[in-house]
Amino acid sequence: MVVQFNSIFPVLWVDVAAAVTVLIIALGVVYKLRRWIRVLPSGLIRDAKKYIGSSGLVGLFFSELGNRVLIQRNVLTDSKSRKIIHLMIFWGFLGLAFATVWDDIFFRNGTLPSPGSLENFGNIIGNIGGVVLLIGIAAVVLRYAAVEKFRKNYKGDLFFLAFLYLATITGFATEVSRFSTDPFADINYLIHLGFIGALFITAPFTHFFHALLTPIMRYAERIHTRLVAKGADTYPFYRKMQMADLAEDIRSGATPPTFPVWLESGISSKGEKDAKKENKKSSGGD
Amino acid sequence: MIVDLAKCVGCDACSVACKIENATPSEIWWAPVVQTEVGKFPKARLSFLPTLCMHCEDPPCMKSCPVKAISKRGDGIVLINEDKCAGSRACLTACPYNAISIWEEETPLYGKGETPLDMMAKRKHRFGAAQKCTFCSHRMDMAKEKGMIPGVDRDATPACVLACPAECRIFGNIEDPNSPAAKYLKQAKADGRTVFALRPEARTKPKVAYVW
Repeated sequence: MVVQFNSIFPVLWVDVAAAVTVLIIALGVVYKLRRWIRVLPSGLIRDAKKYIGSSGLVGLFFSELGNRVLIQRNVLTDSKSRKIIHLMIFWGFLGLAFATVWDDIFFRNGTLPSPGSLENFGNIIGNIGGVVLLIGIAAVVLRYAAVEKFRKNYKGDLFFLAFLYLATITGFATEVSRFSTDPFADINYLIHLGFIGALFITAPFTHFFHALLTPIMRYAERIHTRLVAKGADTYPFYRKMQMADLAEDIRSGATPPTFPVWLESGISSKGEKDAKKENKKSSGGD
Repeated sequence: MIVDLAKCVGCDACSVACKIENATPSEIWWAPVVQTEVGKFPKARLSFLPTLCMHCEDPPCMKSCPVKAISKRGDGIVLINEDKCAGSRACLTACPYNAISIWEEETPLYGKGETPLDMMAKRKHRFGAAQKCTFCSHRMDMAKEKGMIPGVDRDATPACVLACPAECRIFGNIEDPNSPAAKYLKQAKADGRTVFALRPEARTKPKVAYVW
């Protein structure tokens, strides 16, 4: 017997819950990135369009996606074993995501082919991904137990690992339940959804976030490097050579110097207030 | 820190001293001296700019770090906790002074095999993490313990400051009017010399000032 999950609760409810989860994740991502966004230079998008162009930006995106995200060429090059485990967790997770999406697209009405059937291609990939992911998680947990430095700095990531592990295990349990007469199939499914939700909602606040953040930052860095190489001199991410040019401009009188009043007055809160007043008087601000 | 550009001869002693003191990886330099050619023959000359982390009062790197691996101490030194760093590179792109490096390639100093410096770099630093000048914070900590004065006592002064043969780097507590840095700044201003900070438009309030 195959349990039809859409008979327990409608697919629409799951879709709505997923949409709410995505919204929460998006807000979490914006919250975490706000500090970085605030320090970005204002002319970035303008300079990127002018000096790199849309096709250049798209090319950089796919280059980063392929090299740094999918095959992780420059990631963890100091340790082969860590790199393999990192790839196992990454691709295992992608396999599971593929299975979920496959199921959602082709079997929304809840009718599943028999377990061994090749029509169940998505589930086969998902199962392989799940096993690979569990092996990767086990290796990370072992490292966590064995290396004190790792333990000290990544306490919060236990939640991420725990949710990931439980979501995977309950996923396997759900799949077994679906193809048996397990009376707890619906509860397995509900628990599985709960852990998936918890995993994603906490993602911006756990180590899971690096999966999204690092590719974004590497892409930003590639854009920055390209802008500097193209001589985008209105862009603040200067090479040190351009800093030397700035210093030379000040020496030659081409650029007026800005005296560091914040140093003269000291950095006490009173000193800072005095520095602000002095700055306004002398140069009209920075 | 005050850097007197009129005295700098571009010998790179500071860069090498920093590398040895902090065992930085082979391709990473926390305190490089940038050389540029200025003017045209026969009036061409070299201009030297010692660069390092500015330990800003309002550090954008600290604000941008998503895992809070960067912090500012009570004495104003901005430090990166390499163990906590997730290698996101947010700090790299946020720093207006290009002061932060990420250790990405393991290149030994000399051909195959590791030198003692390479081995020490592996012990002291974490591959894949961001790193930058620390104003030799370990020396500042020792200064505090032993009651030494930063910028005055040798063991309480950053390696780059000690190594400079031209004495163009001056270090000290700017809030102490008797410190070498405060006195130098005051004297430079009195002499009518140009004292400036780099990239003031970034609004980071860098704690490294340059003097011409």
